[in-house]
Amino acid sequence: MKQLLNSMSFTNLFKHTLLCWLSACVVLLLMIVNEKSQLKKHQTLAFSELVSEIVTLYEDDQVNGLIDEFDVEKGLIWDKVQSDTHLDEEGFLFALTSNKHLIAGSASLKYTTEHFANWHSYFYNDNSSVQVISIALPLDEHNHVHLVQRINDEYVITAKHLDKVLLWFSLLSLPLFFLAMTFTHVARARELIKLQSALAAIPKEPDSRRIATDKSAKELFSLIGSINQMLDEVTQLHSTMKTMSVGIAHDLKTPLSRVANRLQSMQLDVEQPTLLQDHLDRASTDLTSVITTFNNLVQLNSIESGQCKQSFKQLNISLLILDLAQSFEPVFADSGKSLEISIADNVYCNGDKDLINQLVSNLLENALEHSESNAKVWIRLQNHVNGALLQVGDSGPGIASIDKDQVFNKFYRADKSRSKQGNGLGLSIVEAICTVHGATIHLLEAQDGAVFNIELSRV
Amino acid sequence: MKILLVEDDIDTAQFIIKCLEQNGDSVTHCTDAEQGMLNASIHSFDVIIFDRLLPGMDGLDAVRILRKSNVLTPIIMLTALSETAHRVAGLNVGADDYLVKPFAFSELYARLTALARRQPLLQQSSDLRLKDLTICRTTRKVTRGKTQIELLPKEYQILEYLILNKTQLVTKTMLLENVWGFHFDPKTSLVQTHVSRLRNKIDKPFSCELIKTVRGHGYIISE
Repeated sequence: MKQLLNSMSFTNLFKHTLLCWLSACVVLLLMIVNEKSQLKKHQTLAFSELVSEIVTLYEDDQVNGLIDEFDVEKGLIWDKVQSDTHLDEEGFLFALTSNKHLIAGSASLKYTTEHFANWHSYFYNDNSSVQVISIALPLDEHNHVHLVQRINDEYVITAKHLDKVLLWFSLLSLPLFFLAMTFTHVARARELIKLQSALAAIPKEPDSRRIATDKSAKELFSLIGSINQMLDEVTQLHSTMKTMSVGIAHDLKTPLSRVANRLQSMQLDVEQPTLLQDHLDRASTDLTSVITTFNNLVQLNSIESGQCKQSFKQLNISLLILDLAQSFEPVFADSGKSLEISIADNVYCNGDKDLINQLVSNLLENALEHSESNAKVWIRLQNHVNGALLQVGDSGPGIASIDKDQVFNKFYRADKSRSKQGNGLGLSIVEAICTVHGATIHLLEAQDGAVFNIELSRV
Repeated sequence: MKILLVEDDIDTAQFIIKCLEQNGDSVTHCTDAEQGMLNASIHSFDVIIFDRLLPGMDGLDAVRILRKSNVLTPIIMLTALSETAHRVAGLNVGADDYLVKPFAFSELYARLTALARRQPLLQQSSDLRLKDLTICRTTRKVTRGKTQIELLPKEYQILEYLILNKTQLVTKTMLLENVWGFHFDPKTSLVQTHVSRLRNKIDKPFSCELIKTVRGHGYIISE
């Protein structure tokens, strides 16, 4: 529980609650204002009907018609008290003037001068008030009629109700919103705490343990999915790193310990120059292999950084690869293998000459080293959809399918004893060069030998 | 040769000085770029070895300044940075060659001699001769004695490069750079294979061998 409280941010809770409450109040207020104005319109419409009725009556029978209609006598003038009573009983008041002289009606209506229907408060003698609509209507050049109509009770009551609704809503909803918000916050905090403890448990078994996806936690579902995916990728990276460090350790330790042994032998053979020379030569060869491994690692890193992209140029790779392949032909011949070259003319690609040279040279060396004796190795370059297709393949024995996914991994070697020459970086460099050139490389399936298929894009 | 060495790492410097002096060359050693530039502009040297990473100043800038102040002595840069971009940068500011640490002394020495003797070779003669071997650089025809020898393009390029640097050690890396244009070291015996084919053609049928192998270092062509 304490953890739950700690994990909840109360400032946020208050902020959210207030925000929700305020927006709900504003929405309600807008609805009420709208409703009221509808009702008001209705009232105004009723009043304008009355006004047009009076205008029609005047056109028919002049002032007399109106006096008849209002059921008063000419010259009858109401004082304030009478006016109040009339408004209460009939719901309306009038004053008929001729040349600004009151002919009949209420004496207390003189203030009404607007020629449009207007809303006012009408004050009774005892200072209480009601809502009225009034107008000063010119009948002709001399005669005016002033009309005042009380707003009917239905409107007044409804409006009052609406105001009350707003008041009560704003008072009551605040704690309600707060409760609801607290509830959702607590629920979320619980989910997060669960997630947190699940995450905390992962370092114990980082390779196998993943966060269980709970159906109740829908909002966290995709988050948990991403976390699991990230963990998988990190695990993958981690295992690559592990292979790498084992590889580095092995590839460096073996030649270094051999050098150490040589140095000891030199101490023993210090009197015999011929033996000494042999020790020196071998020690130097071993150190060279360490340096080569380091250089390859540094180079791999620099290729992967993509800096070389700045110096990319349009290259005629037909010429480049043909020259290289022809250079390698005698090397293959000397080791009893053959290299068949089939290069289409004028294939272009955007790239770095040095890197393309190294790409092809590494692939050819790979074929040279790992193919069967008397193997037929071939290199092909042809135009392809949006670019070029480069293939380097051999007649056997190929790469076991368990190794296929791993051949591009750093320091990976199919030869587990690591007794053969090489450091397991050659194909990693090949892959890095392909990636930086936007090319794809894969091993073709169902072939007798290892066939590397590289699709280069022209741009 | 008179050599100026600008190198701040004492171990490397002593190694280079010792080896050079054993070969009978005289070495002036500076540990920082300013002193190096001063020496380079006052005295005359056959070749300058300039380290790239020096305290206080990038060797690259130093070489640029030297070239701007009209010091035309051949310069070889030493560096721990092997990336193509760095090498290109070094050559762009006016260095003549570029060598990545760590290096074998034979590699450095072969390059130094090649640089120190470069100037007289610039007068490009169309025919190159060594004993009874003649190569015509315009027609690319190679003859030894009275026999005409057919060479493949790469074999011709190797032979030409060797003869241009005759009686000097030419390392495998130098051949890779100058014949193939490679700036990386292939694992395979690419150079050896081509050189051995070349020897089969120009040396084997004749009584005297011109191309000699310096084991573990490279080749020398001489009478």
